[in-house]
Amino acid sequence: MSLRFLPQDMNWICRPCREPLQPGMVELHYMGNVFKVELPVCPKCGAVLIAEELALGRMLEVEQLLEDK
Amino acid sequence: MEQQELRHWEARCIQEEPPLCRAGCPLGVDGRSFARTMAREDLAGARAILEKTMPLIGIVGRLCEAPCEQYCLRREFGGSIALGGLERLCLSSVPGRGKILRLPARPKKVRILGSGPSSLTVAFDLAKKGYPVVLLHLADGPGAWLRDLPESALPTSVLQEELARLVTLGVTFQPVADLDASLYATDAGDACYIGQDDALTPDLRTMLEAPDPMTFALAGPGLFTGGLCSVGHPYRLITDVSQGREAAVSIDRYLQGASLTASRVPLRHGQTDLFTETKDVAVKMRIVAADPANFTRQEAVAEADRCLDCQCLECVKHCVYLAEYGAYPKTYARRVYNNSAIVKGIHQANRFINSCALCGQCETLCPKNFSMAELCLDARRLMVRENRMPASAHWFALLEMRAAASETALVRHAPDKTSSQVIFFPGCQLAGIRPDQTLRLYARLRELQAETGIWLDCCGAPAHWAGREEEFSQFRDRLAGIWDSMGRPQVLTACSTCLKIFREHLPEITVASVWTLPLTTGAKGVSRPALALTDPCTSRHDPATRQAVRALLTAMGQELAPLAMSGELTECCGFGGLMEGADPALARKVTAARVAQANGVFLTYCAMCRDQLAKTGKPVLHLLDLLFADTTHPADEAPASLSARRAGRRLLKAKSLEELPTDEPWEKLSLTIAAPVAALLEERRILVDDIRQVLFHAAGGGASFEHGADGRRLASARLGEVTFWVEYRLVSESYHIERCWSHRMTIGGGGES
Amino acid sequence: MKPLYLSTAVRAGLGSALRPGGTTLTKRILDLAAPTANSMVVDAGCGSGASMELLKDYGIRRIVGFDIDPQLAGEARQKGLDIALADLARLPLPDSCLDLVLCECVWNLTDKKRVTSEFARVLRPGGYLALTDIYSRTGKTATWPLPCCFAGATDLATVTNLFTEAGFTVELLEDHSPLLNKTAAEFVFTHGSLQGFWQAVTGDAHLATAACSAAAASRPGLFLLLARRRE
Repeated sequence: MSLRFLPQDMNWICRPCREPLQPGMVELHYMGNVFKVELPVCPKCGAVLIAEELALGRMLEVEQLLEDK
Repeated sequence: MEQQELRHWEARCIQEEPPLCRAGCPLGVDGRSFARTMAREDLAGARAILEKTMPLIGIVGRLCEAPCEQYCLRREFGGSIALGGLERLCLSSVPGRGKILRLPARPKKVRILGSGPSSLTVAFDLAKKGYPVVLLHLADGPGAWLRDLPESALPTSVLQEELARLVTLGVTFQPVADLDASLYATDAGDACYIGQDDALTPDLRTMLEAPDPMTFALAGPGLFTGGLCSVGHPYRLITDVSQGREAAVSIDRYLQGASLTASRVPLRHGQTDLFTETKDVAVKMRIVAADPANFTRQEAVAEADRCLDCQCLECVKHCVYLAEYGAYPKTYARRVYNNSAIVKGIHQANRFINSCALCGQCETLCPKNFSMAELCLDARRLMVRENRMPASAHWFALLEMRAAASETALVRHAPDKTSSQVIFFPGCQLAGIRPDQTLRLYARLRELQAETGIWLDCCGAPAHWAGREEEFSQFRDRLAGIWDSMGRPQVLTACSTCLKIFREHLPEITVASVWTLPLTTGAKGVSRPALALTDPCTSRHDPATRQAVRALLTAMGQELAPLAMSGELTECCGFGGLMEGADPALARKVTAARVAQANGVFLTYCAMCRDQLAKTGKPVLHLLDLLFADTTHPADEAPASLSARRAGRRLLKAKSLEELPTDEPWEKLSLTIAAPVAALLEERRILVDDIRQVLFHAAGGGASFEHGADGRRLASARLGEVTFWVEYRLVSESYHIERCWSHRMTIGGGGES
Repeated sequence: MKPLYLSTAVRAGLGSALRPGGTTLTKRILDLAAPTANSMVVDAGCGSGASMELLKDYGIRRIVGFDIDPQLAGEARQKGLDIALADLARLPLPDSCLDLVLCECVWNLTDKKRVTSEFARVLRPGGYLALTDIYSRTGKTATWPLPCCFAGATDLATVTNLFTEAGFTVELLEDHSPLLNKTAAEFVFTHGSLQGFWQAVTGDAHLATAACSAAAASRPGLFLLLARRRE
């Protein structure tokens, strides 16, 4: 399953590489589970940007589900 | 937990024990539910409750002499509930449901000699179970002495109705000239019951020896007897019906080839383990019926409403956590057991197990000493051992514990001394929340004993509460090693939790509470109106310290306001057992419930309690605010933020060393954090220190982004188990923090799409 | 409303096996029940035949699938599998003819008591029933706004009682809730939240909220049960 989570505002630049971020496939890992998602990535160094909305929305809900907290 | 342990736990919670009325009813009728339902004016519902356990309801409900009333807890508070009268009103007001469910027919036949109440009961119970029953009665008709009763006590129509119902259940009535021994000799069926509450011929009567008092079995195989009650007995009817009921149970067991006695519960005769608190029960007199023979509906409802609804719930009444989950310890024990019983990976009750404050109040309140703390702590340990404890449940507290035991830890003798007679262990919360007062207290301790060292550290309580036995045991060894290296001085602590941990887990160390020392300086403090003193829950079993605190307050002339749950019944502030990490919303409820118990200003001698309770906005003082007028904090001071506590510990260490803090490189960064952002950090448990580390990491070439147009920057770094993100602007060399967030998932892979 | 398993959101998320964890538990069943090449096997509620294909790969030749849904059964038939349309409570089979019955995430949707007795009838004494489904981890049954396996879920004691009463000995009961959680996590990623997922399934915000509170009340878990028909 492939999922796309690109923020509306993609105008971000990787500071060390001076490259604009582009959509890229990223694996998110948690407690032995792997999720393939599409996120803003630096095409040169691979640094990934996780926006606040994603971190505190889907990612948090998923973390809690998997922890079964 | 093994099944056996579960039974052991369950047995210690008495909430499901029968109320006295039920225990006092030979048929086990649920008088409590019946009365409560009557009180709600649900008469049909009340009748249904009787029908569950009562045979021949029209007869028994009208004639029952209500032996239950001897046991009723109301008895001493205005007189027992008139359950007998309530039953009669209920039955005369609500018609029966008609058809009774009958189980599929069985092949074995039952023969009954006699037609008194005991025989009719045997017929009713066994016919319902599907046995074909033949009942032999004298020629004038079935019923024996019931037929002689006046119409007002038992209308003939009711008797006929009940007999007709027996016929529909499959009972065959057979008239005979005499109830004599020949009837039994010719055909005894597969089992035979002889009801002595009928006119038996002397030859049959003399043939019958006394039956077994529990099973009503005679020596002969398949032969049972009952109905032995004498004519003038005050509980004649119900006793005979009960003997019929017990004989029917025996006959059913006999016909199925089962033991008559195995796991059979004897009649309770009012004996029950249910405890019901009566100290707040007011006397309410029994309702006197206008017509002494019969209640009116209105009178009955009022009478039923006097029922005390006997329950235990001693623990649940006082514990927000236990009440939150809607049940009581017996069912909670099963919930915890289910959590670990099935083969793998189940996590049904994780949050429940992790939310208990482990404060021990329930154990003190419980007549049987049921300890939720023990139950939950064992379950947590099991979860940790089996590697299924949610990573985030206790994460922050453990992080704080580790930092307090390393970065901000310190142990040394007093300045200019080379040994310590005693050593002051303030505890990590006092050190973090009130560093100035910690130093003031330390100065006072050195006035009392010059050779007083200082030991800034954590006792390891979070690891203990989190069920992390291995980490806690390492902690213990480390603490023991440090104590040994300091020459084994007496430890003085200002924290009840540290004291408890030392006493229970490091018994070789001599430890006492600082509050047991003569700390008052004689300086005149502010005179305050009476304060509500709340004892920390970890002082529950430490009366000496609690007394000492009160003695200090008396010495200072401070008056105390009453607070119901205090001393050994004290309540948790909402932090204990790491409840706050597992369920912050519940912790807030616990805190709010505690401060609602008294008006005015609270006082405590635990720094954590002080700040936890102050979160509600309630004015709360720490004992140190009273002891040392020169370092008093106002009662309405906001609780210290998590970041401030970390910084406080660092400051205390530096001051104790009488030198400047050895700054980490990131501590030099200049930060600007507006109040709303600071509140966001607190809620998300992000420390200013974390932000500095992320920014420092980014400045050194770590992950960092810049908005293409508006100058915002974004930095991120993984610190331990969490990845932090900081959104900021750089304004003249200062970092203006705008947003911060975090996640626990890790990022792998990467690359272009 | 369509049953849950036929909704677009679920079919897109779960793929061909149409249950949490795909064929993970089917493989576990094969390890545990160890059918041989000659075993007579039925997949009760075979759907589009994902498990049957896996069993064929394991060398099991004699396997028949039953399903009540013509569309899914049609898809399975396309794969060259032996499929019949049937009500699981009335299987067109003689008594005591099977070595293994598979029933994966279907049982809760059926008349459980009747279907369990039917399984007992068609299995030979000593034959295995391998069953996976949803149970309620709180023991509470909740009101669900649509037909689904969650709606029929009970606590595990009720489950085992049904099998014991129908003539089975329960040999193994395992919890596999992490698989269900993983599936839920994937739905959360796709739909933003569980509320979002139920909204996509039901197309209605109120129904979605009802589904979320039903889930919170019953806390669905996933179990695997292996039961043996008593001699």
